[in-house]
Amino acid sequence: MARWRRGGRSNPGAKARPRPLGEGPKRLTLAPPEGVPLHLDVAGLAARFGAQFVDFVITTAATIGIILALLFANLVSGAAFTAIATLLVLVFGTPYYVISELLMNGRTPGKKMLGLRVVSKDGSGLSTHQVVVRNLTKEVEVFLPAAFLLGGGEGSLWLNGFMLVWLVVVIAVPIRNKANQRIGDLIADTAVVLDPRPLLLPDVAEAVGRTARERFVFSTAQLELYGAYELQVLERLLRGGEETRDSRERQKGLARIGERIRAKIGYGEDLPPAEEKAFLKSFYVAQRSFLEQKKLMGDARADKFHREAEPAADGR
Amino acid sequence: MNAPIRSTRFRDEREADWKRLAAIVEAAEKRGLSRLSFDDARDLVLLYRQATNSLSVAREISLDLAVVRYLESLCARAYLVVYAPRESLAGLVSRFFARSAPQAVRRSLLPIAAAFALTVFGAVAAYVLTADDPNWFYAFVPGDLASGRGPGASADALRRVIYGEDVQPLGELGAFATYLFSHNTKVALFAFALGIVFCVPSVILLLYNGAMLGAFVAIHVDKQLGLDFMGWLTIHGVTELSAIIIASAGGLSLGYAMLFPGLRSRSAALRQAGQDAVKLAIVAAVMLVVAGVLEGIGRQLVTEFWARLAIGWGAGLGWVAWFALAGRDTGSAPVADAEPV
Repeated sequence: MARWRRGGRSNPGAKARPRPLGEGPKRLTLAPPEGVPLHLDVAGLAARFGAQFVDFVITTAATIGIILALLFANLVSGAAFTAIATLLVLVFGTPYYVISELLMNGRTPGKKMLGLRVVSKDGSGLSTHQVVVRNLTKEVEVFLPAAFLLGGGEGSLWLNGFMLVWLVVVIAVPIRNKANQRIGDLIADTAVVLDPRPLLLPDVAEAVGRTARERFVFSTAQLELYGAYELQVLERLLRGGEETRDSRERQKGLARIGERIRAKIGYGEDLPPAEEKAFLKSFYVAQRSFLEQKKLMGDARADKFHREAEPAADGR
Repeated sequence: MNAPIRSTRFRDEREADWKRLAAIVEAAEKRGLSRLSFDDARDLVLLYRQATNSLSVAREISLDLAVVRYLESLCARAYLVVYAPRESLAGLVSRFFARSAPQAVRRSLLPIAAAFALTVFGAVAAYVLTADDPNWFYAFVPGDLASGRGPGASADALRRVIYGEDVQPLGELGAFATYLFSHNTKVALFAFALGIVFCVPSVILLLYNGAMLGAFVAIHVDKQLGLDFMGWLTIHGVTELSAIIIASAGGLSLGYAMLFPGLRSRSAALRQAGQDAVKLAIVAAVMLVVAGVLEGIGRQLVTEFWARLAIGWGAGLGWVAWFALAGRDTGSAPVADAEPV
């Protein structure tokens, strides 16, 4: 009983511990020669493992397929067959990864399938040296531990102990690293990122008609209250509505938000639910043009507490 | 007319260009840069520069998250296309063999000498021990490599292995050669890549490799077959042992960078050491291919002592000449006198 209670007590304590701020997905900043830094999402370890697995399946299937084809075609005799098979296993190892990453610009078929790619961390293009390095080390860094895990420990105690230590090192390095780099990536100065997918969403401000803008007018004092963060929350809210426009929940949600905003800025008028959306949109337009104006004059507001916007924060 | 917000106007003016860039990038990714039409290829870089401009402006003036995010990923995507590696494989290979590989070897004479010294030390130690007490042989040589040779084997049996009495048909030799090649490549790769763990595995591997050699020499000398064994070994051994030494030298320089990074960070030191170390590893792999061919085919077909010696040392001389002479046009490299082949 006492034990249970102790457990019960310690549990909420653990939950209440605040997560460290800024703990999002890992991001990588590249500095291309143009001088405009680009932020890319670092690929997660699970995705990379998946890509490796797909590549492994592809190479294994190709090897087995060719060997079977040779067997059925019955072109070569036994001994030469063994030679060809050994050579195939070799070719579908490191050379497969090097050549596919060279020809497909940092992607193997597995990486392409999972939307990953290798980039050079220094912001120049991926060089041949880098591709060769990161794949040469793959043999000892990925395949050796994998074979050890799959095959189970064999050999002497010393060897097993050494392999276990090596396994821990190999797994710990990318977890501890800021950009999930494995040892080969560290030597080659590369990182694996998610393939960026450009998708241009329509401008929320575009859809607001002139009549709405003239119907709702906001004073400067009313627009002083919020910052960029609140504006972008509102943007997400208005955007999220496009696909679930007719749902009741959403109407209610909009009405609730609208009321909160009107209460906060002291907007004197009550609105019917039908006009709620038009109100929010015109408020968005007015607020955005106000804040952008301020920003242009050197007064960037990150949020309603009027914190200075940090330069990296608006990249997100 | 027009939109009320500055950033919306900004977007309206440029959106067509962004879309065009996105389409070109898409086409380049799908069909390859070389298949782009003339106009597209001409405009790609221009549009990319404009888009990065737009991105840096949008980061300053726009609070529309959609635009900033779109430009961010569009620029990243275009950047990857514009700065894609576009060397041909043939050019890469020829440049490697003509210049960068021998230059890297010349720069790495010190680690190569160290690896050579370690091998010699292992060999001498094992020779002395095995000559003293033949049972040490079993401590140094694993069973499957010995293939019946050992202190207990008769001089006749050893001679038969050395001069390959029953010559196999060529097919089997080929299989044996590729088997040896893949085995030796693994050894070299391990010696190379595991060197990163502060040199320790590479040093152990070098000592052990030397010890195996020493143990073999000892049992053959014991049966008065020393010279014949040298002939048997040199035909591939000169190339193979140098390959393993060179690969380990790469590993040693990686480990050295980890141990003593100097004023740089460990990863920076590792990157710098990797420049040459990787070339050494590839050189070693190439040498191992040759060694595998010599070992699997040459050794079984050529059984005359002097011919074996000539082929083995001839190959060694060839390697030295390559390392010492190729890629000299840029000048300023020390003489390759310590090359331990």
